[in-house]
Parts: sequence; structure tokens; C-alpha cells
Amino acid sequence: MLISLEWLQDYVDTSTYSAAELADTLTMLGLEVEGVQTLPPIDARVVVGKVLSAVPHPNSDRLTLCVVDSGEGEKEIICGARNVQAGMKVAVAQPGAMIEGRAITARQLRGTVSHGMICSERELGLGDEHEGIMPLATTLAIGTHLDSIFPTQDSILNLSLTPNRGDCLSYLGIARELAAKLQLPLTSPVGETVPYADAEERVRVAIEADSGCERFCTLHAELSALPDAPYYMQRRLRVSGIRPLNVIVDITNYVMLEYGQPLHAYDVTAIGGRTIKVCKAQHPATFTALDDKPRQIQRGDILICDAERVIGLAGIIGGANSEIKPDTRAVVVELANFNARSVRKTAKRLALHTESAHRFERQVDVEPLAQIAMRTRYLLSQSFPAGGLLALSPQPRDIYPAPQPRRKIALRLPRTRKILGLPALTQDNCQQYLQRLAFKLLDHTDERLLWEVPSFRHDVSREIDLIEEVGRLHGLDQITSTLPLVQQSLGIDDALAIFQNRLKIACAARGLQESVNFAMTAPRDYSRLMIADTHPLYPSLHLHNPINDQLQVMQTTLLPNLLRALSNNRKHRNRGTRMFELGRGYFRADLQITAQHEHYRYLQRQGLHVSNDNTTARPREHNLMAAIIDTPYQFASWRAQEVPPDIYLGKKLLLQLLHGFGISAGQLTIRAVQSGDVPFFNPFAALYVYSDELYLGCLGELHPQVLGAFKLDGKVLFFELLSDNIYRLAQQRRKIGDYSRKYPPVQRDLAFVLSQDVPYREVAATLQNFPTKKYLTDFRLFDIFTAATLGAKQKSMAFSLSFASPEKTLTDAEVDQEIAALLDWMQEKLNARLR
Amino acid sequence: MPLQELLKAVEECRASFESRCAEASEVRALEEVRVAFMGRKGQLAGLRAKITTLEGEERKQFGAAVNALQKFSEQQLNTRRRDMQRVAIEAELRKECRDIDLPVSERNENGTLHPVSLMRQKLQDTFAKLGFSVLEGPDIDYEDFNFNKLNIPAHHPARDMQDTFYLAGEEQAERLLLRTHTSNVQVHALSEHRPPLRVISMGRCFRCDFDLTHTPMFHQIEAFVVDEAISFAHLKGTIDTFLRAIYGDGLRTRFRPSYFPFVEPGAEVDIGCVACAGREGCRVCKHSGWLEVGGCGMIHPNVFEAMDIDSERYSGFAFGFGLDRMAMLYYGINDLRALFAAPPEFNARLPIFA
Repeated sequence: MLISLEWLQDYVDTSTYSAAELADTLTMLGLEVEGVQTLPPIDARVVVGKVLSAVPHPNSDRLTLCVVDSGEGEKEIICGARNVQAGMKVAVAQPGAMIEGRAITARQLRGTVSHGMICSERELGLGDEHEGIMPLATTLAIGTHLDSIFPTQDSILNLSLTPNRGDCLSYLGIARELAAKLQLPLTSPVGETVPYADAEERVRVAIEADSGCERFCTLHAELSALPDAPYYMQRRLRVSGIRPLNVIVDITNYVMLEYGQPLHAYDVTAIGGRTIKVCKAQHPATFTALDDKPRQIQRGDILICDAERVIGLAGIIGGANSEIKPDTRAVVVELANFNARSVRKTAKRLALHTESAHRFERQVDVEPLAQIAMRTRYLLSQSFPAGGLLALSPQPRDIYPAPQPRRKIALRLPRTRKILGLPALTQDNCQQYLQRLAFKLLDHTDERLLWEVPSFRHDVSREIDLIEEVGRLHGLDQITSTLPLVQQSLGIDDALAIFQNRLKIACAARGLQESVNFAMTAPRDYSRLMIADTHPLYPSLHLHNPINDQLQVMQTTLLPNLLRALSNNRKHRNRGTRMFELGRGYFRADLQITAQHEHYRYLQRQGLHVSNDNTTARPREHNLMAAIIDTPYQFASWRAQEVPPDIYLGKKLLLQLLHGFGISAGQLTIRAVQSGDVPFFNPFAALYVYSDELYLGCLGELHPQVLGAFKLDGKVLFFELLSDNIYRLAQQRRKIGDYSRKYPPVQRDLAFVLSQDVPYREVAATLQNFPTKKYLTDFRLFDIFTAATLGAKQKSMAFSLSFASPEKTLTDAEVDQEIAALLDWMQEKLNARLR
Repeated sequence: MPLQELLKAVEECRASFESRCAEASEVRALEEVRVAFMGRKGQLAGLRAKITTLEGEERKQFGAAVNALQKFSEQQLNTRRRDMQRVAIEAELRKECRDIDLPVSERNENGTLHPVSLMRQKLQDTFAKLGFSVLEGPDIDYEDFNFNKLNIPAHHPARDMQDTFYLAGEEQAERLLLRTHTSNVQVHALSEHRPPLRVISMGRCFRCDFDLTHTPMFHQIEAFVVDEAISFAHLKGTIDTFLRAIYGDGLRTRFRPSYFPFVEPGAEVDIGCVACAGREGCRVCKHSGWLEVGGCGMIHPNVFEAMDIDSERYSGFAFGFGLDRMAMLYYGINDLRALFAAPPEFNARLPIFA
């Protein structure tokens, strides 16, 4: 909301404070001032001029060549605005005038000399309008200095008000707060009764029961013409952000800004049946508002109707059918109060955020309506040129079926001191603060004070609200910072939250860069990942109101967004990025897992982040840790060749990562990914990691087709782990075991030739389970190769074997004996022979 | 031969050994010296043979002199030999001298943490010292936990302060939404645990807003304390303490009254601009000298009552700060876009430890 300090002086004299001081005072009262704009006085060389002729500039499509009389003879001025016309009175900046910080000179424009400039509202500092020049009243004398018509320099405060303070959406509301804080007297607007010819009451008002209308006042006026409002009013409206239209509409807006009470004026002749009826809509209908746009009315909207039709959406906007037009000669002004919730529902549904709706949504004070009506009557009586206003209602017609009592609330001083942390606060302090804010002390005993709440403070309904008022006026900056005394305890940490921070550090320490992406993604990304809509990983949680196409659904895996990030990096010629992310995968609670996707059964078991919610309808949020590794893993350098990432590098990284949390390779089971389970992986380079039956995650090279869909080539590695399950394993208490120094082992290298079809798992198991094993303690694969010389479909696997005994140093003979038995065993089990 | 002459012979032998040792310039020459002096027929053996010609004290004295010479010569030879070997090895090494300025690391190999994660580390450490527990909550929650129980009823204008993403197709009585703040953790914690409580929670929040200064997903830290006799002074003390722990002892703070339906009295927290120290005003603080960093207040009695907690017995405070903004201010990051899917050249500048 924009507040002109010039206007504000009508209600509170703050002339001893600078605009910056007032802005600061308001901000520290909780009425945040976002900016202060200083409007300088209008330059003395800007005068009223008359446009004698206006013709298109011969050398330009846009410019108009005007002849203007501004009291010093007829001069040519070139104007770029479209609304300039012969006969208009306009503001002319003569050469030498300073407009918006630059000097106006007589200068040549497309071959013609322009002797000054015709000004827009913004150029004069009178408002934001800059589409066209500002038309002035034709009655103004040529040569009049503009600063004598718009006399003051002014400062405009831009306030950003919180929704609880509807009472401050007005000049009086702001004045009240300043007066209370700065201890200044408050002046009420003039509302005296000026005698006038009585206007005939041509429209009667009826309020239906339960219509959501608390009170309805009307004023009638009859006019002989519809002039502009007085200049002071136009200026004040303009700098407060409202465009002046005509005297009637301007007065309704002026009063609204003054009191915060929205008004609406109807053309009496457009009201059918001489009746205004306030009611709730019974059935849907279409309604054309002031802005000439059709709007859909729904059951329950509060309507203003005449005998036949809807003429207004109560508290939001009037109808095009009854608006004030240039030929309007009889007016009825509505001052009413409507239910905040109903107005908000309708306004929100129709996206009609009008000044009126904005105020009614935040509740408007119903008590002073009659008084505001009298103020309106006074302004009407003062704002027309002689003979312009023919008749006026002597009194408003006021329908107020159920006057509302004021709330009464007790304030306990000990509690006030305790909540605010102000032990020295006195009863006198409290009384002063609240009285200055217009609260009325009704009774008090033993530091308990009973207060009557002023009718405009809808936000005050409990003792805590009074405590806040005391704190606000006292100043929160007056409260001394103190740390609380606490009872020590270990607390209620969610160990997983802390574990995830460690996981991040572990990933970064392994050379991965953390990436953070939005948790939303697009369904089309899943088709690119070859995830069908029947697959458990297909997103099942859609946003009702997505902000764009890309952020439509909640992700189920971190892959799509990481792939996008990677693809983006590649576009910017950044190859080889290694990124990780800790995020969540989101799933419906009633996710169906078919027998075909048995692997994903875990999705139904975990992922709740509340412990006492017994509804099972909560979506599951699985904590995920994912990494994506681009090609090359290692760049070619002066000392090494380029290394692409492959599943072995990924597996190594994963094992090292887990080892850091005390999870040894021996605890893990690596299983091949079943075809179709994880469609985005290369089916021949993907694996699952389990520990017994606990699923930890998957790792693999991305399918070339998936990479193609994201416009990528080369190898890209991806893995995704369930952070929670890693935590479960990591927190198991483990014994590190005894320390004892053994006799030095004997090492022998053996190469076996065996069928290419035998996987490493079987070879290792065979070595491990060698039945007559006595001394073999460890083995390490150091070479694999195939060659024609080995025989068809044969491969060689070379192992370094360690033999040791806890009792003695082994002799060669003892080792030889064991190796001989081992060779027989390998021959028997795997048909492997020594190379 | 008398003792004096024999001792003189030992000295002469030592002198001649030393000069020949010094002359030897390679291992082979040194070996010749060794044979000449220490060999079976060498000079030392000759001297040693003379020991038996003496008796008593004299024999003892001469024997000691010969032994000393023997020991000295061995040491000399060893030292010289090692020196020669080292010179020879280093002459070889010189052939593959290293250029220590050669580049060795690639940008993609340095692990880094996100600025928000770094800020989380710092905050978690600070609040742990103050005795706070860390909790997490759901990102998707019911309207009830995000709004109603926090004193933000449906159709209240306060809902406009937070543009909310709702989930589609929910035909249940209660709508699911993406939480608009981490304050839902307050509701979950207060319904799962009894006071006293001191909790922080950090995580993702979502609002339907996407421009230069807003992202649809962002991060918040929520902190709250519930106990008997908690006051606004404690709120100020806690906020001042943690902000100074992060941004430095000299930091100025300002609490200005504001409105958040779940707290009362409520306030916005401003800190003195970290870019211009709040003196002259700059672009970062829009020439106000202050930066808005979060909201805070005393937990509203309506919130306690919605959680079946006696608001007469317990009081508490709560505050919520934007982690993205805190991190940007701390690291001097000027563009919000740097926080989401940032390019590697930006990420590479970040550390792992805060």
C-alpha cells in the first residue's frame, strides 16, 4: 500500500519527523515499509498549455507535431504520445525545465524544432502513468504554473502489510499506529453535516438472512454533470496508486483509502425495480463485471442484485450494467460490510484481487459505517463546482440488523512479563501502551486487567494478542537476549538425519561433487529412461498445480534430474563430471507391486518420516543416495591414458564408500540385475548390492538407448542406494577382532585354465570351499586372459595364493602338498587345469 | 723396537691411510686402499704382528693404538664408500629429474559439498552445542500438519503468504501437499514427544514461485524450544547466539514485529548487511543496511492446544530461516541459480568441510 505523507498529515502531524524516521518507526511496529519515494516539487518552468493543433509529424509514423499556446505565444512541440489531441490542456515543460533529472532544451527532432515537451503523469512525478500525456482540466488558465495546481512535494511510503492487519489498509489506520507509538494526537476526518437539497431515496435495500452481509448503508446524490474530482483529490489518489476517473468514483476510492472501507457507486437509473437486494447465489450464472469480462457465479457467492439481475459481486467488483457513466445523473453509493470468508472464496476462485476484496478478506470494521457515510456525504458536498450537485441524502439509510458487541479480554501482567521476558514491565507501561492503541480498560485487580478491544482490531481475540501489542509498543529491541536454562539430556535425534550428513562427506571425500536438484520431474523423462507406466518406478504422485511442464510429478529416482544436469554439463563442454545427490524418491502408499517386479517390494515397507501416524495413506519417501559418473572417469594426461567409467570402477567406489562405514565386502552380496527390473541399465553391466536379504541399492552402466534419449554418448555410470538401509548396516556394532602376529605366509602364484563360462563367483567359491584346506588363507586374482593357445572358449585366471599356519612357519613341502590337493580339487569341480 | 717408535709407526700409518682414502675417487680405488691397509698382508696386519714383541703396560698401550686405528679405518672406508655410492646413484637420478610444476589434478576429481550442505554442517554443529536434537520430517504432508494445526485455517488470507503445491487426484478428506515450510516438523514432534523439547530440522520446502529470487524448491531450518518459562528473551538469545556463531561476533540483529499465524508475538529477524556491514548500504541489502533472514516468535497457544499441550504450563519459541539465503550470504554467492543444478566450474570452488 502506498501512503503519501502529505495526505497523512490530515490525521496526524508528523512534520517533525523525516520520511526515513517514519518509515523506520512503522517498520519497527510491524508495518514494514519496503521503500520510500521522494516526489520533488514540479519545476517552475512547467505550465499549462493548450494544444491548438495536432497533426502527424511529416517525417515520422509515431510522432505528432503540435502547436501549443503556453502563454508565451504559439510554439511547435513534438509529442510521442498517442492521446494528444487539438483542444486539450496539457502540462508543458518549457526549455530549461528539469524533468526526471534532465534538462529540457529546444531541439531538433526529424527536421523540426521542438520547443519543450508535453509531460506524462510520471514525468511530473504525479503517478506511474507513462502511456500517454496527462490531460488537464480545460478550465485551467493558459500559463498557470503546474506547481500551483499540484503544490506539494511529497514522500510516498510503500508498505507491505501482513494479512492480520486489515485495519492498517488505510490512512487512518497508519495514522493511528504512528500516533500511538510517537504519542501524537489523532485528528478525525471532517464529517460535518452541510445542508443540501434532499435527494429522493429512489432505491430501497433489502438484505436476505444469511446473505453474508452484516450492514448496508446507502447515500443518494443527484448531479447536473459528472466532472473530474478536485485536483488535490486526484493527486492524492494518483500518488496512492489509484487512477482518477470522475468525481463520484474518485470520492468512493478516496474514502476507501482514508478509512479502509470499500464503497461502490451505482447509476440509479440502471437499477431495475428501484431495489437492491443482497443475497447468496442459489445457482450458477454469468456476470459481466466493471472490467467487461464475464465471470462465473457459483452457489454461495454473495451477490448484489436489483429486481431482475445481478449488479455486483458483493465486496469484490461492481457490474458493467450499473456502473457510473459520463451521463449518470443519479447515484446511489453503497457502504456495506460482507463476510470475509465468503468474499475471499469468491475472489480467489475468480482471481479477482481488487482493492475492495483485499480489504474485505482481511475484515473491515463494521462499527463506523454511518460515520464514514457522513464523511462521504461531506466530500460529495464539497467536491462539485457550483451547481454540479443538485441533491444529497441528508442521512445515510443504514441497515444493521445485528450490531456486534466488542470483545473483552483480560491481560495478566505476570504472564505478560514471562512471555516477553520483560521482568520489569509495570502495570503503568501496559496500560499506556494499550490505551494509546485505543483499547479501553474496563476493570483491574491484582495485576489482571480487563480490556475492551476496539472494533477495528479483528486480529485481537486472546490474551496472547494483547501481550503482542504490549511487546510491539514497548519495542522488541528493548528485550534483553538471554539463553534459556536447560535440563541436559541426550535428546531425540533422528540418527538418520545426522547419518546423511556423514554420507555426503563420504561421497565428497571419494571425489564426487554434490548436486541439488528439484524433487519434481517430468513423466516424459521416465519414458526416456524406458520405464513403462506399469513399472513401480513410474512416478505416481502428480502435482495438482505444477509450475511448468518439467516439474509435474514427484521423482521416484534421482536419475532423471542427475542425467539432465549431466547432459547440461556436456552441452557446456564439461565432460567427466562426477556428481552425487542425496534426495528422496516419492511413491504412493498404495503402490501395487506385481509378481513381475518382486524386487521392488521394499518400496511398500519403508519411507515413512513420522512415527505416530497410523494412516497408511501417507506417501512413502525413500531417502536415496545416487551418483552419476560421466565419461571419461580419468582424463588423458601427460602421464596416463583416458579411462572411461565402467561397472568395475563403480563397484570399487561403492565398496570403498561402504567400507568407510564399517561395511566390509564380506557382508555384501552382489547379484545380477534381473532383466526388466531396472530398464535404464545396460543389462550386461548392472548389479544389485544386498546384505543378506537387506537391499542396499543398484549400480550399472546406463543403457546406450537411454543415453541417446538424453543426447549423450560414451559410457555413463549410475548407482543409487537406500540411505536408510546403509544406516541400518552401518550402525551394527562390530567386533574388530583379536590382534596376533602370525608366522609369515608363503605365497605362490598359480594360473588356472578353465572354461570361459565359469564366473568368478564359482572360482572363488571353489577356492574358498576347498575341503582339505589346511593352510590356504587368502587368494587374490591378478590376471585374466583368453588366447587361442589356451584352447577354444577357455580362459586363464591367475591367482596369488597365501598359505599360513598359526603354529609354525610352513615348509615348501607342506605347501606343495596342499597345492597338489588343491589342483585335484579344482580339476574335479571346475575342470580347471594348471597352465 | 721401542714403544715410542711403534706408536709413531701407527700414526704414520693413519696419516698415509687418510691421504690415500682422500685420493681414491671411485669404489675400485677405495677397495685397493682397503686391501693395502686392512688386508691379510696389509699394513695394519704388519703392525698387529708387532704386539707380541711387547710386554705388560707397553703391550697394552700399543695394542689399544692398533685397535683404534683399525676401527677408525673401517669407519672411514664405510663412510667414503656410502658417499661414493650416493653420488653414483644421484647421477643416475638426475637423468629423470621431475618438473614439480607439472599439472596433476583434474577438476572432476575434487569432491565438493553443496553450499546448503555446508551451511547445514555449521548449523548442526552450533545447535548441537546448544543442546538441540536434529529431526527430519516428510516433504509431502497433509494440509492439517502444514496449515491447520499451525493456526492457519483454510480460507485464511495467511495462506496466500505461501503459494502451495497440492498433489493431484486425492479424493480423501484431507489434501496432501508439498510442505511450504519445515514447521510441519513442529507439529509432528509435538505430537510424538512431550516437552521439554529442543529441536532443529532442516530440509526441502516447496512453493509455487519461480523467478530470479525464488525457486519452487528451497531449504529451511526450523528450530523450536518448548519448556516451562520460555520467553521472547530466550528466543532473541538463541537467535543472536547462533547467528553470531555463523557470521561473526560483531553481527548486529534486529527483531521487528511481524505476523506468522503459528507464533505470537511474531517477528522478522534482520541482520546487519554482511556485504557492506550495514553502514553505507549496498546492492545486497537494497541500501537499507539490513537483510531479512528469517521469521520467529513465541509458539501460539492455539498450536499448543491443537497438540493437546497445556499452553498455560508450557511456552516455547520457534524460528525458521532460509538455508539457501544463509548459505548465499555466508559464501558471497550472488545468484540463486548457483544453488540448483549448478555447473561444475562453480561447484569445483566449494570445499567438503564448512
